[in-house]
Amino acid sequence: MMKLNVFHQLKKVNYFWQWSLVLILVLCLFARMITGVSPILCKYKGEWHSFISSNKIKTPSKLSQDLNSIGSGSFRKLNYEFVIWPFISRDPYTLHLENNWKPPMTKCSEPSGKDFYFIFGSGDTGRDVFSACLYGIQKAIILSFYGIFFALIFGLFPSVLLSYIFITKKKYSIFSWLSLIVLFMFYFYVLTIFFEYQYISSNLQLISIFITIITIVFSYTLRYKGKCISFPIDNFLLASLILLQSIPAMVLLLLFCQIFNKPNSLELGLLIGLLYSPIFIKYGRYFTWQRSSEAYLLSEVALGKSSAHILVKSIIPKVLRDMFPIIAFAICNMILLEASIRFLGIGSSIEEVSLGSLLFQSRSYIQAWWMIVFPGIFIYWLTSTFYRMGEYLSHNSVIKNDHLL
Amino acid sequence: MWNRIFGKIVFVILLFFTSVWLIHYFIDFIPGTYADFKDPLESNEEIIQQKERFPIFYFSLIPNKEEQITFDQKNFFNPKWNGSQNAFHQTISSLVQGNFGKSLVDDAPVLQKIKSAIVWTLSIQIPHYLLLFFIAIYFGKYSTLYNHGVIKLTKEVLLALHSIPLFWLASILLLLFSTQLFYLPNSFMNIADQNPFLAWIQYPQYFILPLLSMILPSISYVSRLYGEGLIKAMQSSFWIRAMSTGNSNNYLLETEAKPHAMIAIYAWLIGTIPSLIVGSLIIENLFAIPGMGRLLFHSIAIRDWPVVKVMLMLISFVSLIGYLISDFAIKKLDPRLNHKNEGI
Repeated sequence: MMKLNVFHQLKKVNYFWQWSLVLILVLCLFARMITGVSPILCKYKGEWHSFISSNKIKTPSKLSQDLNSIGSGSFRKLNYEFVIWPFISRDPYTLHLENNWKPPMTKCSEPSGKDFYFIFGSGDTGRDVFSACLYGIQKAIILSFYGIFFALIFGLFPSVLLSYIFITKKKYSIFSWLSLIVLFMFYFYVLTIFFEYQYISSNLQLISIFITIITIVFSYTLRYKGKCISFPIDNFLLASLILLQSIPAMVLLLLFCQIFNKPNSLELGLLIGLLYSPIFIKYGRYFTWQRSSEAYLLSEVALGKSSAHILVKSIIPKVLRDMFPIIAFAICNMILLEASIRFLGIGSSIEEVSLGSLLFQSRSYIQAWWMIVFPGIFIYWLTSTFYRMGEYLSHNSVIKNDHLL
Repeated sequence: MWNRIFGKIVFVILLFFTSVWLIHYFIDFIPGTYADFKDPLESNEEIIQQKERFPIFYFSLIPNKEEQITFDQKNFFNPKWNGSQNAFHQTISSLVQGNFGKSLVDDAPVLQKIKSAIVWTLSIQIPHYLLLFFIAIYFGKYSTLYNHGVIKLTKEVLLALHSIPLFWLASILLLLFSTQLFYLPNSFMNIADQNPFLAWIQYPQYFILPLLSMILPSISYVSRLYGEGLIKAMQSSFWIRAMSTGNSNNYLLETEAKPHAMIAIYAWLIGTIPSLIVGSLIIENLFAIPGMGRLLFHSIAIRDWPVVKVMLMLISFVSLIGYLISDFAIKKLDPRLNHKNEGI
């Protein structure tokens, strides 16, 4: 007798992956507390300084003055009134050119004579791989969160709104639609200026805000004036979706990175978010269609609830809940996309610290196995954790949907 | 039926024109030209002429960056009719005439460069998808029907491989089999001048690592796709009817469940059409395979825009054709979709 596999039913995430996610978030939040050359918190000549979020020193301050004059660039040489140091005194931004390509657990000496170990070895410029991996995790998570934020803004919310308007067959006046088209064209124009000059003047920013307010107010007040029509807005959404997906995301990201030359985390997050918006549009459409067909919405309509109320209170929260597994998979893919683009050596400089750029460095000296193995393990850990979380969430959402049916 | 086909074709043509227009926009935004990447001593008048920018479309709203002198003098609204002297018009008319232009790097026709690259990409991608298809179907079937220890372990290993980044797996394989054990070559540089299909016969060892790097992470996904299709079919009411006929399980599996499970696999296969042409940017760069991905990467890096434009247009065209095929093929493969909305 044939036995049906239970593989598809065993999708419960085990505790390993849950704790793995917690550990990733802890490392992301406290990377600078674990490893770094600057103090976590210090009091120097009556001034308090904290370096948890960044390495930048407040200027002008006594610490910044004395760091160069007395400490000659080293925080350790100064005398503090109060100080908390990170557990490991290593930093990926400090280069030890004399100690490049050192294997893991190699004992080296600082110019001051103090001995230290490269726990995961060092790279081509003597960069500590262990601290670079921790900072790389932090960077990958922050970037993927930026990406998710922008994908929600550019992909999910417009798709939910437009799909809902299309599904409910709402009819609005021609003036209302025209003013929205004008607004859309204006934003296309602003975007063109931004890409052409990579600069938007303050005047244009003010004009943008002014035009946005005017057109939205105009569109809203005249929505039922004159002849009302329904606009095939969902078809445009679908066309834009096919168009955006006609060129692979990797190729588009490659082109985007050429425009911005060396994009920082926010810019790269914006680009990745833009590239992921078609996927969010697709699922946003699907979930909106699915949720809008639920019977209880009819009772809300019968109770006299407005469309805006139904959309904000009923549709969007449910669609967001449905999107959780997609978001988890998207985080996994965004981390991979960022690492891939850095691995190809695109948009990163020598100062750049990321897991992908560590792997890129390893290509120049393939014998340095530690440069391939350790960053790769961290990327794998990040991606598999979010992948498993996505699987777990999608399994749960299927159960909920089945229960509803 | 014919109206629908005609409508879809017109829709795809319109999308293609829009994508050509957007490709021109993208390329226009990217700073730098080939002359900037070339040795200044070698820059000649021909290259300097190529630095001149045409307007992108028939009309423009903002002035070109070159027309601006300082930020203070910026007048961002400058509507202008450009006539046929625009990049979009010239590209479309060149495409209609079959003139794809010449590369800025070696003055070779773009079409010739793409042809030689596409053969390499196909020589990697066709075996990749064929092997993946057969391995995944075979494993998907057995992992669904049997659940003993070896299958369980293999499934876990394949699932773990699925989460491994492609570039890391390829780097690890390179490190292991090429750098440490010296079993397999690490680069295609030595055989780049050969015909790739002859290279398959003469030097098959070159293809092992790229193929392994691409196949291993995907087996889990495709086999699960197939396995889940089989399970879904076996949970349907028609499966009970089929079981009552008294035929063997294997026969029923082949005739009743497999056609259902294959719908998802065919949809996946149709979705892979664009990647047959695009290739893999990472694998081709890592193993120095002179295919489409590597050509595109290097052409973008040195701003060889004639090559980049044609390649992007080709990718977009193939993707849209893939969309068109999938739209019709899925309904042909799964006739239930044609009757889904009947009676509502």
